[in-house]
Amino acid sequence: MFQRILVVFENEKVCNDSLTYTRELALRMDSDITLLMLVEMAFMDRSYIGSKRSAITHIEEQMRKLLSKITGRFLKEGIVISTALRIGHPAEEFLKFLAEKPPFQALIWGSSANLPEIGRFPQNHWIRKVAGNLECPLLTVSSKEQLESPQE
Amino acid sequence: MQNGVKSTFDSYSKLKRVKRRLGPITLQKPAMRQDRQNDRGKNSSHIFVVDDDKIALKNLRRILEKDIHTVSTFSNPLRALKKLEEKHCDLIITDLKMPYLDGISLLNKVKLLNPSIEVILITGYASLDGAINATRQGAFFYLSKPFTPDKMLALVRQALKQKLLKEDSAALQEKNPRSAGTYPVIIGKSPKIVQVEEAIRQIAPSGSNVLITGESGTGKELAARAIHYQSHRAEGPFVAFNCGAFSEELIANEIFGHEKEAFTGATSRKQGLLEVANSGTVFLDEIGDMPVSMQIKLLRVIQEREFLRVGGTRPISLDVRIIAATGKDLKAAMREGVFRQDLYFRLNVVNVIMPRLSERKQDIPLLAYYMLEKFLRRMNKNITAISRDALALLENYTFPGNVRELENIIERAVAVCQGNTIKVSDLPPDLASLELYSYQRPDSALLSLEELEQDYIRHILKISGGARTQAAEILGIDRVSLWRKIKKYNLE
Ligand SMILES: Nc1ncnc2c1ncn2[C@@H]1O[C@H](COP(=O)(O)OP(=O)(O)O)[C@@H](O)[C@H]1O
Repeated sequence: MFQRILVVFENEKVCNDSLTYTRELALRMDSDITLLMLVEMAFMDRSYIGSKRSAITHIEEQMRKLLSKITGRFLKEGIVISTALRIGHPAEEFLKFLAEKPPFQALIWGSSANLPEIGRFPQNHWIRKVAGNLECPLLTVSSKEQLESPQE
Repeated sequence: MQNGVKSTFDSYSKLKRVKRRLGPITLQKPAMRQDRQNDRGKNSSHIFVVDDDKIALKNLRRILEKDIHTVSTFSNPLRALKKLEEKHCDLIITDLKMPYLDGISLLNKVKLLNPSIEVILITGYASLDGAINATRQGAFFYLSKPFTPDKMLALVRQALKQKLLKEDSAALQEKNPRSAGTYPVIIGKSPKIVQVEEAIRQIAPSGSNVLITGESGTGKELAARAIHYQSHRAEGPFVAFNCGAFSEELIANEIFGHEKEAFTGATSRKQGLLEVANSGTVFLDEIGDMPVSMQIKLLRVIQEREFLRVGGTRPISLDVRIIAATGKDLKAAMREGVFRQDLYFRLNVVNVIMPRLSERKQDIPLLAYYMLEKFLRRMNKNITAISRDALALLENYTFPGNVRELENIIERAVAVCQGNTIKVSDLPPDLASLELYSYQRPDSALLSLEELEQDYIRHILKISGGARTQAAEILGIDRVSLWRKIKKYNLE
């Protein structure tokens, strides 16, 4: 049966270990990969969209370049890969994306080794809010060396 | 153990007589020892005999060696089990009542270790209940004392033939994974998996529809096969279909089949899955991805026990058991209106929940060795163990791909392993160098849409600092709806 892994990135941040892990996991699960880049942008007032048009075009171009650089690594291994870009409120776009697509068997956080934190309230980052409640496990990776010698 | 080759030599002339009487097993006069050994490799089998009665053991050995089998005898069943780990064995003949471990328990353990080994149970107390129980658990035959040597040998030959047949069908299965036929064994000793096995045993004979829920790779299809093989439909076909992998028209076509010229391109009549599976079991994987229009049709089939081919007018009557599986939360899908409630209740007569591998970590070593065994048979390597470090690494890994992922890891390890032990270096590099953290719901239940909505609204309210107009805007609903939801979920 065919499997699907989703890698989620936020604001252009790409963590190398996550990609390594994703590649290995995809080979082990015989799965396709989807890369989802979420770029945060507030559309509180719909009239704003017009003025943000050029900013969006710019982001789209940047992201396309970045994503195509990443996909090369997977294509080399013969892994089927697709990419998606969503601009807006990340949690909302993320959940919408999951709802639209057929189910994934694993989600991987691709922007950092651990889930990001906001200031003194780590639980405030959007991904942490939804992390434990998704259709399948959300995974983060960090290298073991890093863990053995904790932050100074 | 006595040397089988030697004993065969000794009794050669006697054996030829026996052969003639017993039927068409080819046997040539041994020109050289070498040749004989080759010959033995083809014709003789390794049989374990287990009985606490030493005299009975001796008698059985004598009978069996007539048929040029290699025989190992055990007066202690636990010893026999232990020996199974290192010695090849085709057939076990065991007494029913023994100290330490009775015949049925031995049978169960053997089947768990290697389902292809056949078992013959012998008993002094021919109780019918016991016999039925034993065949259900995969015993080959039940022989009551006293018996004649001929009767025993005939039974042994029958059992060995059965084993060959099974192996052939397994080989076929390799080539054609869609066809049914492999004997499903669910490996594991953890309470969660034992519970699943128990549930399967109970519901299998009933014939009712079953819904199996669980993440991908947890063994949903395996469980479905187990149910099929333990039901009275075992002789009938088992047909699996993934509803998530096809478009709507294709699904209808695959499930119901079509009449000739039902649509452009339909040049001949095609039997659908339901028809192929008649008198057997249909396994519908990813049922949550079945389009609503198809759900209605499926419901009708279940209710009326007949169906039409695409473009057909004559109803075809149907006798199948439907086992559906899903990784999605169907209750949430129902609330959302993408899964029909009536169908849900029809399918979910019984629910089997497959645990994640991470919820039954104690099964990882057992599964790892089971998979190792499986791939060794295919890859022709001489690996005997998995190193302690490698096992520890596996035990501490989260396995988002569940048993399927473990299976693939072991397959790769066997492929790259150079020595006779699988080491850490044979495992995927990220397993060793990366620490994995998994955010999962602790209770393993899937979150309902309602719960998700509740969490999300709470979150949006927080980031918008309680400004409801803004929150409503982000959520894409009007203020009144938001207000209602706040009331409903008590989010003030
Ligand atoms: N308990 C188990 N014992 C032995 N093999 C298992 C077990 N669970 C899963 N497997 C194996 O793992 C693989 C994936 O199982 P499968 O039934 O296809 O999972 P699912 O249908 O849930 O995706 C199969 O090769 C299956 O034989």
